[in-house]
Amino acid sequence: MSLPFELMPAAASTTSDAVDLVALLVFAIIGLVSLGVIVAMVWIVVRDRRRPGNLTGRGHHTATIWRTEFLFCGLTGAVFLGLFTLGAVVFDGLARVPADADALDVSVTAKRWMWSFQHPGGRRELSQLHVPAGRAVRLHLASEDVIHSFYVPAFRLKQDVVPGWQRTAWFRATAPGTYALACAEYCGTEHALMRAEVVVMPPHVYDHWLAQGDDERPPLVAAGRALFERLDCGACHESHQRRRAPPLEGLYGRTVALRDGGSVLADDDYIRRSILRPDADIVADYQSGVMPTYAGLVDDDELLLLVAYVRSLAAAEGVSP
Amino acid sequence: MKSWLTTTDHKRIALLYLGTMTLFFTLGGLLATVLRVELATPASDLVAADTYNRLFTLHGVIMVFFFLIPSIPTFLGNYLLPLMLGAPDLAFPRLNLASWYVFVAGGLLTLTAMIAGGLDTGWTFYTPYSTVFSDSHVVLAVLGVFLAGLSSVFTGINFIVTIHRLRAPGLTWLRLPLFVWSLYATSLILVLATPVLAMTLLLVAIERGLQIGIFDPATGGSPLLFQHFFWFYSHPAVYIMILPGMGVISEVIPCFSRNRPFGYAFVAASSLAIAVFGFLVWGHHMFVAGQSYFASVVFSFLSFAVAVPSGVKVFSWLGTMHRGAIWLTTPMIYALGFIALFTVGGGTGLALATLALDVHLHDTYFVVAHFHTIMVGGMLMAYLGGLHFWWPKISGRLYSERWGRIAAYILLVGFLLTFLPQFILGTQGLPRRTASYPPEYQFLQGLSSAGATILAVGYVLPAIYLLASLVRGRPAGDNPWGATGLEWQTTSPPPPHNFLDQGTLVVGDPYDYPNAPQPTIAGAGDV
Amino acid sequence: MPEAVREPFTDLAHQRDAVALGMWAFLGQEVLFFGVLFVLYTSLRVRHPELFAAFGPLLDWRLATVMTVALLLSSFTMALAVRFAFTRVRGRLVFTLLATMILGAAFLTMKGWEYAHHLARGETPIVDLADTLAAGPGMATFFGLYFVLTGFHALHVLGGLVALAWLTLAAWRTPASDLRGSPVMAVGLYWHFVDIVWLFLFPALYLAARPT
Repeated sequence: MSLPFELMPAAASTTSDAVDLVALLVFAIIGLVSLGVIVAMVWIVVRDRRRPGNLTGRGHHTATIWRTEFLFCGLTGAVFLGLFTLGAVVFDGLARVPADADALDVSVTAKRWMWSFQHPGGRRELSQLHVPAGRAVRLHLASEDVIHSFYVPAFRLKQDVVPGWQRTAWFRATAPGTYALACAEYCGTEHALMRAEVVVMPPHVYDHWLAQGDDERPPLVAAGRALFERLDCGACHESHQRRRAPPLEGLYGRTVALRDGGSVLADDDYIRRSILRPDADIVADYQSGVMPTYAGLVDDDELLLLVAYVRSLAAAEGVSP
Repeated sequence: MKSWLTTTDHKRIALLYLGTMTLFFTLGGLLATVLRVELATPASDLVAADTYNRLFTLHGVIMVFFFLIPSIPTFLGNYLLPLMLGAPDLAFPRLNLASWYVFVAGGLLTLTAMIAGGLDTGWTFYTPYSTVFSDSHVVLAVLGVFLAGLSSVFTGINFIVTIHRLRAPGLTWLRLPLFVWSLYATSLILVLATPVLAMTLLLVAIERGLQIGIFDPATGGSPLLFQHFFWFYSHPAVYIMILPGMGVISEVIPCFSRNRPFGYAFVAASSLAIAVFGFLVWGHHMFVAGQSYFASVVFSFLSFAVAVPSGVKVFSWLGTMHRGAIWLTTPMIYALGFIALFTVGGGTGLALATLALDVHLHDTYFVVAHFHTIMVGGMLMAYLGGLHFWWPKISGRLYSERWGRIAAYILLVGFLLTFLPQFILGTQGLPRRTASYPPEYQFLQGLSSAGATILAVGYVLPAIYLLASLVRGRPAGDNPWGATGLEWQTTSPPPPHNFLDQGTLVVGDPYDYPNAPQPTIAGAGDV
Repeated sequence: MPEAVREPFTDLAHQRDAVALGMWAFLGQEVLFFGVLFVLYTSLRVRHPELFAAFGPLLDWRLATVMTVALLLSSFTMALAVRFAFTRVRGRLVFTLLATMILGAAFLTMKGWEYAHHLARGETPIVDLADTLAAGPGMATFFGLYFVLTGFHALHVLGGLVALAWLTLAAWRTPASDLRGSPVMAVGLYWHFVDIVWLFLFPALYLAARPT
């Protein structure tokens, strides 16, 4: 286009083309309808203007009115239903977090007014996120203070980060490049400056980048394992025979049956919740009041470590009772 | 002076509201001016980021709670409802006066918060920012808004009872003017949604002021619950703002098309449908906040559903004009502007209701542009249209029709230049509420600021020529437009109890334009 | 204060009707007002049932039962008052209004005693920000909910008492033949509503958390 601006930033993720298609369709319909209304209005104003000989309206038959009104309702209803369905179908694709084996799990912490990231290998970065092109990246988002929102316009991706909860978002970048990341939820004084960059690299460059990272910091899972041991979680969670607490191997991603008859998906949020409020969801065949709360003992960063560790046990043996 | 402050005459109370709200509108407009000047350049140079945040928050709080929500109901509604019903006053005149005092008290509290150092939470008061982290006068401000809400509830109750119990003999429900129908739907929302906001804001004040954990996740609260409560009110509140505007348009268009409304029953029923559906769509503000996937889909569906009755309105207005005798007076220009801009605003609302697209557009300038199109392009156009339409009735004088038309066109141009660029800023991905922005957005931001200058001129002009008409305007006569409502059957301005002789009222077809008297205003024969 | 027809009404029945409708509309908004609190309760209860199990038993259900009885009786006397207002029996009207006030005041006194009792035992709703170990949902969260729910209700009872006092004074000063029914009816509707709110609060807070 020869406009002095682009309508949308160039699409750079596997989902953005579908979103752009929806956008194109919706904007085309809005544009056509608005234009139609304006043209009809001008046409009527010119044709039926007040002038000698046309000082009083000629009105419509009741039957005409009812027929056209119902026709109009049906027509708009059908168009709206179509738009709704289209939006929902594409949204479904955005909402489903891929379970790829080679997906990258990145922990994201938002706090006023910066983004920090931790890679599965333990490498941390501030205000820059390096990822490989073509691989699914799963983001595990937590906030240390107020609500923020993780927004990468080029990926058409946005997810609020709510304190007290862990959210998961994902993307698969298509083209190497540097893309803007902004906080979209107003979060205080420097909200406007809470920006960062997502650097998408070709896979081999990413591997190289990852290799030259600082080795002093233990990898995420190892750090989580160390914390797990320091807090002595294993005293209950690793001794199956005593049956005080449910085992963690193979837990992540599974649906857990609860004592009250319900069930819950063992996702990030569930694990985090179980650490902070053990009695919120009691697993079937276990007792409440056994595990103390760890609220106040572990901070948000440490929770991310513990969750990462439990996640790493997803494929481990030794579960099905 | 004293007779004004103790009056129970709905017409005088309406004028008290007009004065108060004009002050608030001017203040909110000045705040917007500073915002637009600041945004002309990418850096945060005119005011610091902290100041900017306070400015946009106050602009929002004042415009939403002290202008947009009360404006048409408490001014035009208050003035016209008894006249349109052929009643001497509202059902509870003293409650009406009390609601004005409560409104003023709420306004003063909010202004106190502003003078004491301001408020920086955004008009949405999201927790835990507002209750734990913000370093500003949240408690004062939410109590101010709470009082404004209480005033709304009083007005709503008064309108509902008046419409049920004070219709003139023979004025059946299906003979009610469409403006009354829209006020009725609005009042239902005022009474049933406002208390939710009121309690929620009190809870915010309690959490912040007394350190009682309610929404703070650190004590087991849920910030999402706050958002549910807030939008349960604040989405219907959008309909509080726009429904009375639609009512005004539904009066103006038949009058200046000299036609009966096309599908009266559809237009009346669509007001109620909008009010009812409006209660069921709040979750479309939370698609990316983390509500359940299922909830998002349902809310998206219902948001599309509520657009159907809104579409019926637009269709019916066009139908009313069709085969009419259209007379392009100032109110009619505003009405046409309303139809066009409401269509654009409603359409972009559908873009936001489309799930996949909202993920990208949520909390960007697109949202800002969308609701300003509905609020400024829609509601404010209707407000000005209504003000011009009934000004001869209220003041007894005719304003300068020439200046009126010029101002209306200036406003339209200013509006388009201000807000169309903001849609594109949004699709490009610029988040809202940002004091500074990357330089690539400057071109569009600059256009928007330029448009705001034109818009400002458009607002100053009516203030000048309407005030001038009070001194120099020619007497309007009882019915200058040749309109059919009961309000035109009394003198301009109406006497203290509205009708000198209730018995002479002719109650019948509310829009009998084919047999209505022709306009008495000069120049009505030509154009 | 004679029951005069006031502007804008032209006949009495019409005016009474309007007052009743106005009060119903007001109560409609009250339902939503308290509705927020009950949703808050439900949300906390679903997400933190352990708080209710742990701290619910600290509430005194016996005292609350007595309070419930007091409010129920006051609703009965209020209903009588409305009847006596319309039939213009001044002595009985004043008596039943006073009885309603005394029962309401008794409710508030017991509520106040209960509050003082909880606070004295350290069962406070105030979150102690300095105490980092206490962070997370705990006793303060539960008592925060308890104080907010019962506090808003108590404020409504207090408002009802003010209205009743005004009615009693008006009835005292007015000759029997000029007694007005509609204000008493309106306050009566309000009073019953406040009662009903308590009838939901009582089981929700005091009974639901008790071990069976």
